[in-house]
Amino acid sequence: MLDPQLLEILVCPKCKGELEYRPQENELVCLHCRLRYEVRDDIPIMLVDEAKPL
Amino acid sequence: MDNRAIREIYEGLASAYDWAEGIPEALVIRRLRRRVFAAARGRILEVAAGTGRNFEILPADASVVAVDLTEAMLRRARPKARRRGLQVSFAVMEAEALGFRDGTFDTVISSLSTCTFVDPVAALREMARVCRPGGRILLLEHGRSNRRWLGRLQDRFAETHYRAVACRWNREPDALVRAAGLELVAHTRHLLGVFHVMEARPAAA
Repeated sequence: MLDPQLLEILVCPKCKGELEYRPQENELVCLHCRLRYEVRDDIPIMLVDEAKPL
Repeated sequence: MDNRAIREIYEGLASAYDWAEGIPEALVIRRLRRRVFAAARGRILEVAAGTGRNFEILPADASVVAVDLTEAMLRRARPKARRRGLQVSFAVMEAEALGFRDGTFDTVISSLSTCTFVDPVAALREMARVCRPGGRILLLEHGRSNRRWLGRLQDRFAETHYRAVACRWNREPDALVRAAGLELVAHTRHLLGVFHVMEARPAAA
């Protein structure tokens, strides 16, 4: 489970826009950049070159 | 080297990092860490937190977010936060592209990092962006000595050192802080002019 306080301050590292947290997939989604950032073991991997396409 | 190459180097270094850094740490760096980071307050962001060597200095009641380029380094940091009883959240990020809202943090700290950032000016600008107006950016950095003989020696071996640990030891950290448009409010040099203790503020908008 991603820390809610952390979730509140996170934005997309690329466009600095809002992220959508999908707990079932355990990922953070940027709808604008169409990227999915994985959360591994409670650590969000906010790297554009590691993100998967939406 | 790009961020991917640096990440590969630090994935390899993670398990031995604390051991290899033990001697310089005990001799000088710990004292300087205390000097600069004891002033950290409130909601704190540590950029390039590595294995969490600064956690023991941060106030126990602080709320800390620690980011690093390398997941393996943060995995070493997590148990240190737990032992200290410090509230830390972790995220993997490039310093040049932080994923936080503008003005989120009261204090942004980073140590021994501008030498390794692919684009240190961009990284410092990002630190200023996520720091609230009037907040503080506290830095402990190392760079090219202002003693002529040592600076020349660093220049001569700069490429060898860079290829080994992705660290450019002949950069000028205070010049980088100014180039990024931060307001440098306090600056002292230590140990043959190699180490820099700096307090900066995000420039007024």
